[in-house]
Amino acid sequence: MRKLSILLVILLVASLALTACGTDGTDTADTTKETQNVTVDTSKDYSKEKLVVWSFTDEFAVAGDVEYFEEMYTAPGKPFEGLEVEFVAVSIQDGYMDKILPALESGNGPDIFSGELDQIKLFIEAGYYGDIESMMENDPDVDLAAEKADYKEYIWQSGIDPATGKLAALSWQVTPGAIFFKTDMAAEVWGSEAGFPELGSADYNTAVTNWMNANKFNTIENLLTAQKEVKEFNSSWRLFSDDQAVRHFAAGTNNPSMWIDENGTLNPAKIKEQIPYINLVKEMYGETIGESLTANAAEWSGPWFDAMDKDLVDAEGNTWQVMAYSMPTWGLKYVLELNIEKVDAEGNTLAKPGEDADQAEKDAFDAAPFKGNWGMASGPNSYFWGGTYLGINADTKVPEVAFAFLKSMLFDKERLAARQQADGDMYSVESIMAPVIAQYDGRESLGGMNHLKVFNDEAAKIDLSNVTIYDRGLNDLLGVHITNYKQGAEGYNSVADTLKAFYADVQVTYPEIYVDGLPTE
Amino acid sequence: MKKIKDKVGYLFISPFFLVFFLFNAYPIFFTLYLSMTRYKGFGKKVFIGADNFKLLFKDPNLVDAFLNTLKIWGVNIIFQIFLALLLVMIFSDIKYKVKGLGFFRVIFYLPNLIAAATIALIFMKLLDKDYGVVNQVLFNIGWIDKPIGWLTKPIMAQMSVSGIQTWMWFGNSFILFMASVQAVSKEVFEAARIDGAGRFQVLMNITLPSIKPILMYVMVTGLIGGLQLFDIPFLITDGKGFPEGSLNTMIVYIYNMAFVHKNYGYASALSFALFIVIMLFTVVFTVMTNRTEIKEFIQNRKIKKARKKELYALKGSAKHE
Repeated sequence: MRKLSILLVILLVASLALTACGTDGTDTADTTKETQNVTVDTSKDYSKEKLVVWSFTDEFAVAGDVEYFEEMYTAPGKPFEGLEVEFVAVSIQDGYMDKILPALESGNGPDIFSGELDQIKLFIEAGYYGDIESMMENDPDVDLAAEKADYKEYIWQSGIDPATGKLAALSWQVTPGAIFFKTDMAAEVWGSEAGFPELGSADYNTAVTNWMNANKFNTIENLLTAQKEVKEFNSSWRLFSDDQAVRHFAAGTNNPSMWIDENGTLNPAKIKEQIPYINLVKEMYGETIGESLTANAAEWSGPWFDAMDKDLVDAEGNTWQVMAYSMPTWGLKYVLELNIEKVDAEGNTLAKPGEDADQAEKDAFDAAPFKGNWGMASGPNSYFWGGTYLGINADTKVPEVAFAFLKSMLFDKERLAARQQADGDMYSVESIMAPVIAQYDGRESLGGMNHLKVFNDEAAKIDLSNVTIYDRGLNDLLGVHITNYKQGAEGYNSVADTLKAFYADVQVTYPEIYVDGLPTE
Repeated sequence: MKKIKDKVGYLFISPFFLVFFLFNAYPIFFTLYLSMTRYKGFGKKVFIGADNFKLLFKDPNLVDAFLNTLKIWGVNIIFQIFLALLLVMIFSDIKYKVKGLGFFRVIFYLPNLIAAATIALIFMKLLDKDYGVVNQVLFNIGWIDKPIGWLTKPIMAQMSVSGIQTWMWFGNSFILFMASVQAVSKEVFEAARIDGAGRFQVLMNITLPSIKPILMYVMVTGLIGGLQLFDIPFLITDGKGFPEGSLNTMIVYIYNMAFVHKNYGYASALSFALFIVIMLFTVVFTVMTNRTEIKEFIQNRKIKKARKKELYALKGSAKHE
């Protein structure tokens, strides 16, 4: 027994010692880091090296980016002949951040890794991303000034490391959002109002969109009025499926305040900015669909998808129709268009061909028109949702290879043009997008609207310099209390109660940014 | 040579201690260390002493999260054991002689084999207030005239999760209880029956005493698992404790604190507090349910000590003589 006790005490002491000796987490942000090499080391046997790439989506594999890199750089006779490329995709839902942070912290992180805007802010603050601007300067094949001029300014600015003033991450994408709405429903509700375009007039969808932008979706107040008008017109119609659709308009302005002020604490101006949005959500809520201004169909739920082209049937057998969805660039192509039914000339729904169907059948389905006619409007403010940024690990052992991968993704204009043509997405590179927008025939699902131009204009209004690493967490935290307030939870009788509860949470969750005396109205 | 032989035993037991040290002791002490730092999951760990523990007393969500956990666990464990005992009564009744025990064992255990994520997704769709199948069926057969907020009303959401947990785990308890009952000779049950014992008397005097150790095991592991309830409450709504924080269990709260808000220091303090609470609960529970055994143990120790003393006294007096 005595011996066992001694053994346990030894284990306890060893545990404590190991804990104390564990990484002291010395701040990895090092502003004096040497610029990483970008030239091919001819003395190195690259067939023994490996490039590890992590991303939260599988698009590098699906879009053929890894394959292209291998073809250009690791194939026989190429600079990094025989080098192995390992691509790891971990979705956000599967804990991308929970997996990559410990890997980076332990010094065994991937050579290249991606992130959304608030994630790259965190990577930059932690010093995980290396300085790619200096690498660009040192590479004779890259013209730094020309690239900087070619990329959208806000995309470039958002990837700059404030500690060094140098670029640490960059994205080839822009992901502005819009409100996609059914023009036929809009025409029925507001068709008799002054200035609403006549059905069949030239460029009808664009004209309806412009009218909606000017009259119904331009302010938070008008957005609320529009929802009431839709419900008044037809008691089974709703403008949005649920209040998640308006969360993008919480700021209500294209010049939003930052969550954190110049003192590094919670910004009172940002709180005040949120109040109209809190009131909007409260007004939209109803315990039953009949009482609500929405169809109470949560974002990404089955009914949310169904309402894109069908009537919803609730438990009581009532039917509901939804007019509009807030979604970004990728939402149109990968969500909306994939879920809207296709119809034949008589308006009958076409069955989706199976994977084993012949090509002619698939082509006929692709060419068939979508059910319904959609418009694409701006909300009270421009917004973005998603987007993939890329950066190089500050501690990578193969910086020249990592930079070559980055070049193939971001600065190889031929590749970017081919990629854009294949996926039809919005890119942040002016030289790629300008000719595409000019020659674009228009989107069939949007009645021939040049949606790329609309997105391009929206993107130009977005200011990403106000995003902080706290944004996602604070929005989540406030969202919890707004939900409690809208549902009339105990103790949530007013906006002031909601904000007080939010502050109490901030005090324990982010004590470093909490200050007394924050506004409650 | 003999000395080396004596110590070989330590080599054989070392794998346990190594695994225990690496996967139990080290994480516990590392969590304790983290709880005394401000740490975002990257960069410096700033030592702040007991500040995170002081925050526990200011935290507006802590008590609610703990009570939510207890409520969901409490209802679940009562129904789980009740259901398992009821089935044990039916399957061990010598008069009924229910056949197909093996088949029913598999059927009852089946929910335990389905991934929690799948179960959460299925019930999320079934229990949806406005578009769910359950309300649709109840409405069609005329049992309700307006939809029930299974997952939108706080108390209903808690009871729904308790119900799902019961459905998932009663089969496991049933198998354990049944195994204990089957270890008792059938003759005992037959004798009781011949002596005129009713079903309740058989349950109280034969079945329950025979499964008492397993019952305690189920209660204690259920308590430990229940206080760490995470997957269903996290997945069935929005992962933030909706509605009105009623599904914000301790582990859901700790998860969000660490992995959403990146406050690893405070999340560690919360984890450590929960660890202590679970330990206390387990000790209290074990003492309460094993009073007789503990009394016997203490008495035996006292007797042993007294004997040892007597023995020493005898040896001492023998030396003096």
